[in-house]
Amino acid sequence: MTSHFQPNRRHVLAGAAGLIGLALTPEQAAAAAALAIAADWKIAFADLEGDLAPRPLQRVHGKAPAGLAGTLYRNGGAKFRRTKGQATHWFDGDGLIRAFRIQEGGASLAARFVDTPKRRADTAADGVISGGFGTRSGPGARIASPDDVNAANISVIRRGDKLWALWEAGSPFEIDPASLATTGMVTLRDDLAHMPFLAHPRFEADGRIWNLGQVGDKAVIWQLSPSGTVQMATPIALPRASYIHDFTITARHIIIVLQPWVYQGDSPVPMTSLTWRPGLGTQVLILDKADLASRRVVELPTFFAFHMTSAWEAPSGEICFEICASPQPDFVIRTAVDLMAGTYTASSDPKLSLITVPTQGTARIESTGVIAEFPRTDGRGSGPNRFTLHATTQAKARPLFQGVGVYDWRKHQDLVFDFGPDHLVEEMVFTPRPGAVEAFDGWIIGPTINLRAARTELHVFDARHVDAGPLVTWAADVAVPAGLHGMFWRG
Amino acid sequence: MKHPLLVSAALAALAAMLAGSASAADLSLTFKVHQSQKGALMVAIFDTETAYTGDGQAVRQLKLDIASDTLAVVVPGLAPGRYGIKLFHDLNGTGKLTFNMFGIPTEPVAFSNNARINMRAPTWAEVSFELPDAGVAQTIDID
Repeated sequence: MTSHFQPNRRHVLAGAAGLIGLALTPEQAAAAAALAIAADWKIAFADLEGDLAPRPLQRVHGKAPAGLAGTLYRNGGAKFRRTKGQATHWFDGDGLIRAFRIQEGGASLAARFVDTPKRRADTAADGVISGGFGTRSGPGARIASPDDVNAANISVIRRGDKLWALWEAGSPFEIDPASLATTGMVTLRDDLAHMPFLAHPRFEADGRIWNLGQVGDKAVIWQLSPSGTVQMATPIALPRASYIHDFTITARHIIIVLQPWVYQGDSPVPMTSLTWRPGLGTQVLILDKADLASRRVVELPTFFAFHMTSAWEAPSGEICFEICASPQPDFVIRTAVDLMAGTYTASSDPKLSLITVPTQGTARIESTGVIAEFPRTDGRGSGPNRFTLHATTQAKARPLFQGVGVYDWRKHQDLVFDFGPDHLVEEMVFTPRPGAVEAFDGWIIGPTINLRAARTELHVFDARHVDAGPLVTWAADVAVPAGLHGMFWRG
Repeated sequence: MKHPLLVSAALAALAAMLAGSASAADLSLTFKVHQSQKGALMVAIFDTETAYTGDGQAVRQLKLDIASDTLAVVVPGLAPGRYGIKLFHDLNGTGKLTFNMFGIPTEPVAFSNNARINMRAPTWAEVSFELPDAGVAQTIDID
């Protein structure tokens, strides 16, 4: 933690209580115990019992940069446990849409649960009867399609005047960006009801949307207009039934990483159908956007990954993209399950890596050695990424990260701001300064959960000087459970 | 009592009676349509587990055009005994249950006893009910 980052009052109080030691009065001991509990990482995976009405955030230090205005929309499960049962995987909580608004130098927070059939059914049953990716469905559930277990909890995107809350194996849910109220489930076309739609769509410069949906070794390639109208939904066969969370595109190609974590059998719980078969290696499927029948499969050494960056193509046709690669899927198999039981099990570190696929010859993956998840790039331009923003610094003895990093691909240097063990860092996003031309001329925006103060904080960094710490930090009066993905919408 | 379906149901009952049923009971069905009010309900009534689970013939098939959120119909002329009902909401007017390219129904499906699909279709034990001489009523939700 740098001196730039001011410790809050509760830090000081907790430190003082420690120094007093045996001289604590019973009241002080109780207060110290309460602080110790508050610092517990479990608050990041606790239940939020209801929506959060809009509330101002209190400025902790610094000043909002001039010219920064907009809303960080963020999704992620925030209700996991009910009287008669609970989600048994972190990915199966009810989707909560957070809106962190930055306007005129101040900030506010509102959050609202997505009104899904799953949430309604589970609420009525006072249990988690509509399962999900890693949670078994219970008696009395009505599961006629994947949308009946759709928690709408992985990401949120804004297109025009609508938000879409995205899951992976089912339909988007339309959300009003002002009130965050759910309008309804989106059926993209009558004959495409209940089709899978991943939570990491890719955008063309003109706003057109590419996405992928998957069931086992079958997939659908979606192409949507900027406003979300279906232009194409084409089924394709996959060479193997890999777990797929993300994919990427170049100007001409669609790139799908097929790791050797494959669906086998038909357990009612999708995750338990997945088998890690490291002997198979990892494959990359490359499809021609203009002719989906034209494909190439290249082989790479075995790795697991959730996330990758936008890809680019050299004039020679060589394709490159970045990926956060782990040796195996132990986070999703073990850590994310144990979290729901209130215990932490360490898992392998994801490392920022570069995949290069030449037009001929052997593809390769090269690790930077930098621990990285939630990778985000500038988003403008189509060449190599100069910088990659990511969460970093695996915290000790508790899940997820405590630092924000920006990797400079030209200097091969990672600039890091470490919040210290009290903060759980969520996905950070980049937004350019108005009128900016240079790569990463703008701001990094994102929340942390201050575990000791038991509150969510919102931070803004100068994207070129992340290591200097936040330009401004605001604090909420509540700890919102750890989120997953979202986007910043300027204006 | 001027709904065309009631007329056709009555005609079907008349045909059944002419065919020589010894005794007959009234099955009163109420359908509550919670979402789209377009299209029709395609209802099939079965009198054996084999017919329900396989490709067997329904003892009655009804097509109910949806004019409001609640539809009521009396199916007369059924022999007292055990029955099960499955139906789908024909939103696109094809007369057949429609599936998306991955084999998931794109139209709502419902069953007697309001039995639910829970990863699999409900069993005969879950959908079947007794139709006594005095008749019986079933209310089925569709959404």
